Parts: sequence; structure tokens; C-alpha cells
Amino acid sequence: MASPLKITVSQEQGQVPVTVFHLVGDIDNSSYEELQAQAKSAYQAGSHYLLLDLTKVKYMSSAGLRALHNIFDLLNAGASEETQKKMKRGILDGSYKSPYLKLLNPSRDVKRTLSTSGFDMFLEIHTNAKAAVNSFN
Amino acid sequence: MSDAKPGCVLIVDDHKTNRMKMAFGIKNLGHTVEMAENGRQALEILRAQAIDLVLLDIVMPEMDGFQVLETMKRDKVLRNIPVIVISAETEMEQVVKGIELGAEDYLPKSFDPVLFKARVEACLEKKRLRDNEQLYLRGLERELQIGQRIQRSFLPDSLPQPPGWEIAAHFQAAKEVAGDFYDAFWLSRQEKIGVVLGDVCGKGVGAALFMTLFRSLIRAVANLDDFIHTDLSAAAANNLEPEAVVVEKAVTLTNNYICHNHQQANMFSTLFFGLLDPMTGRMVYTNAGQEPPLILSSKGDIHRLDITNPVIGIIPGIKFNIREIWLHPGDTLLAYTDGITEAFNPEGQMFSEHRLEALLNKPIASAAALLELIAASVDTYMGSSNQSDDITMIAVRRLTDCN
Repeated sequence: MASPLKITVSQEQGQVPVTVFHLVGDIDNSSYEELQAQAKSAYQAGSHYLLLDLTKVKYMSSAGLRALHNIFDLLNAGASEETQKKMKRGILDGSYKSPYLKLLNPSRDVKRTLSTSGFDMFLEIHTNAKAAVNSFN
Repeated sequence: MSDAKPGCVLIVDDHKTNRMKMAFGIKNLGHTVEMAENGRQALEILRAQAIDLVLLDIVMPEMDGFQVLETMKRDKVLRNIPVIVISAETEMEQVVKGIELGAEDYLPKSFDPVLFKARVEACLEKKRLRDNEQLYLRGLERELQIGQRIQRSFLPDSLPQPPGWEIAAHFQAAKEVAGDFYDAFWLSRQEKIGVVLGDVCGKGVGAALFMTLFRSLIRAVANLDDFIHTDLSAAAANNLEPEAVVVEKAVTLTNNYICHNHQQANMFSTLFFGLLDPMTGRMVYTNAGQEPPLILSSKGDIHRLDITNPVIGIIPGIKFNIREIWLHPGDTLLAYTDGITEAFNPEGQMFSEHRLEALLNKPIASAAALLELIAASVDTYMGSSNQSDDITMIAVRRLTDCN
């Protein structure tokens, strides 16, 4: 029995302006497109740094991972070919985490999904909201 | 007359004059007419031929208009035919009851030509739209069934059963088509068995299309030495272990192929791929983002394999790590997708690992029996809630001497 996803958006100022999505509910097959769509609107409206607050997300399915990957690609779209190449090399040697998309407070289950799939290789996971916002630069 | 195809209208009235008046109006609009004097006759005609609209009088001998309406609305086919109730201007109560019973509209017995045309044509148009919708839905259903049949053909018809071993699988899609896949196949030139389990992200048609791609790539690339007639013993000559080369090559090429050719589609898959030597019980494997498979020993111990890599299809050029395990007599390898552990009960709780592991501390009769036990337990746990994800398992069991 899935609980529908609610997304509220706030703007925070760290070293750079950061858009925070506060997510409540499950990120699954019925909600991942909504998350992608909202991220796309935010990006088109000028947001380049996105923090997903997962504190109130109990469950994330593989469709949720798909949304994360989609947003990861979206925020990297503006990068030059050289930067993209560096990024790929960085992911391979473990030195790259996305400077644009970060995650806050995933539950134990969601964290497990992130580590099983290997998404924690390129997405930073934070536990403190303020530190997370300030980590964008 | 409108440009649309003429309809066939059934006029039901016990007064001949009324029938004639309405028939005249209908024919003038370019449609064909059938007539009935009472409700019983009307139902006979409705069941015998295709009618697009019924003009229905209420007060009639034998069977009145309300009874006709009630019978029509109970019938799966007849309920889709629109009905216009015919009534005297003074009998508004009857009209209301007719509408409550499912009539689309009503017409006064004065049969004003403008009103008559407007209501008849509106109802026929609605019927045409409804028919088209039904046709479209049936077409979609048919396409989906074809898709389902073709997709099933990407799963093996039968699984290899080498002497001293038992291999079984269970597959239960959440929708008509699935994103999960499993496979077990002989690598003929090496006398090894490839064991595969994967879960493409998401569900439905998109995941199903990619499932066929991932599954085919792994099987084809694993057998590449057969296709191109080279011998992997060359690998051994270079101090490379042939089994590890096969596994690494299969997942690396599949991963790079998806990353380079389908990056825009944003689809990836978990993948467990093991290569079993049935002579020795040694399995070389890689496990890309897949729930770690379990090894159940004959003594009841449970051991989990490693996750060696992230899911395939997102990071090009990644190096896949290869591990090995030994399956001893009495050991069973169980690989499963998250449709098992993430099955929800009606209260919204997940089946999770601990319920799965609790099922595994009893002796196992056979690999197939183990999968049946797990599937039945998950089914009972889900109860009235819908299956939200594909459920797939594959079990490889090494028999003990006394088996």
C-alpha cells in the first residue's frame, strides 16, 4: 500500500543558492515521473543545485532510482564534454560525487537501496540539513 | 443527415401512430429502423441484432419500458446501447425514473423535429464514440497480450538439469509485461552453466523492452566464443581464467552497450550473473546492484554473496569485480528480486529479508519446493493488496549423494 508522494520546495542560501525538495511519501512507479517533472521545472527556472530531503520517504523503488539518475543527468547536462569525461573517470575511481544533486537523511531502507544499487558511488548523502546546503559550492 | 455512418434505431411503442411518426423522423435523418410493439419484442430484437439507439415508450402491455431498461442495464452488452425515453409532457416523474434507471435522455411525444433530431443525433454520436473507445481498448489489450507472449519467449522454456544438480525458477509479473528476467543456459564449449537474474528499473512496457535487451545481450555475449569460433583456452594461456573472462566480458560489454546506445532512455538493470561448473560446484560470479543471493547450506546456515558493482547501464567503462563461491553437496543458491522483500501487506509493511530468512531454516525437499514455499508465503503476506512489483527467483541446488 503505497503512500502518494508530496513535494514541497524551498530555497536556501548557502555558498550558492540551493533548491530543496522536501519529499513526503513513497518514490515508486506511480510518483517518480512527478519528481522528475518538478526537478525539470526547477532546473528550467534556474535552479542548478538540488537537495532532496528524504527524511519522510519510507520507501524508494527502482523507479525512484531511475528518477535520481534522470535528475543527475539533467543537472549535468550543461557541463562541457571535458567535464563530463572527468566526471566519468571520477565515478570509476571513486573520486566523483555530483556537485549538483545531493541527498539528505535517507531512511535505513532507502539507504540500503542506494548502496545496493551503487548510487551512493556518485551521490553524496548528508544527515544535517544546514551542512548539506553549505556543501554546495 | 450527418456525415457519420448511419445508425440502426429500435423504436419501442405500443401505438402504431407513434411508431410511424418516429420511424419517419429517423429515416429522414438517414438511419435505419427496427420496430417493436412491447418490451418483450424489443429485448428479442436487441439480442438478435446490432442496435445503436433505442427510443423507448414507458407504458406498454406485456413488459413496460422500465423493465426493458432494467434488463438492458443488467446485461454486459446491452447496457452500452443508449436509450431515449419517450414520454408525454405531463409525465415528468416517469422521465426521472427512466433517467435514474440509466436512460440517456428523453423526448416528449409531440416529436418536435428540431428536438427529435438533436437528441437522436447526440445519442448516436455518443454511441459511436463509445464503440470506438471499446474497439481501441480491445486493440490495446490484444497488443499487450502479444507483447506478453513475446516477452515470455525471452525467458527459458526449460532449465538445464545437469546430473547431481537441480535448477528451478519462479516468475510472477506485476503487470501484463515485466522488467524482471532470469535465465540458465549451457555454455556448450565449456560445459558450464550461466545463471542469470536481473531487474530492470520500473515496470510495464518500458522495463519489458529493456528486459529483452539485457537478457539477450548477456546470453549472446556469454556465448560469444561460440559465435565467433574462438577458444577461450587462449585466455588460460595468458594466465586469465576462462570462466572469469566470460563473466567479465558479458557484463562489461552489456554495460557499455547500454550506456553508449541507450543513455537517453535512462534505463538500468540489476544483474546477478554466475557461471557454474557442475563438475566441481565452483561458481564464478558478478553481482551488479542485485539483492545479494543467499547460499543455504545443508546444515541450515545462511550466507550472503557480495554486491560487487553498481547496477548496469549507468556508468560506462566500469570494471566489474569477479568473485567465486563453492556450492557443496546439499547447498542451495537462491537469487531473488526485490519483488519478494518489498512485497507490501495491506497495512503497508514490507515482507523484508527477515521473513524470507525465517522460511529458510527448515530442510528443503527440492529447489522447486523451496520457491513454491517462498511464493506462497509472499502471496499470503500480500493478502488483499496488489502485487506492486515483479517477483522472480532462481534456485540452484547441489544434491547430496543420498539424493
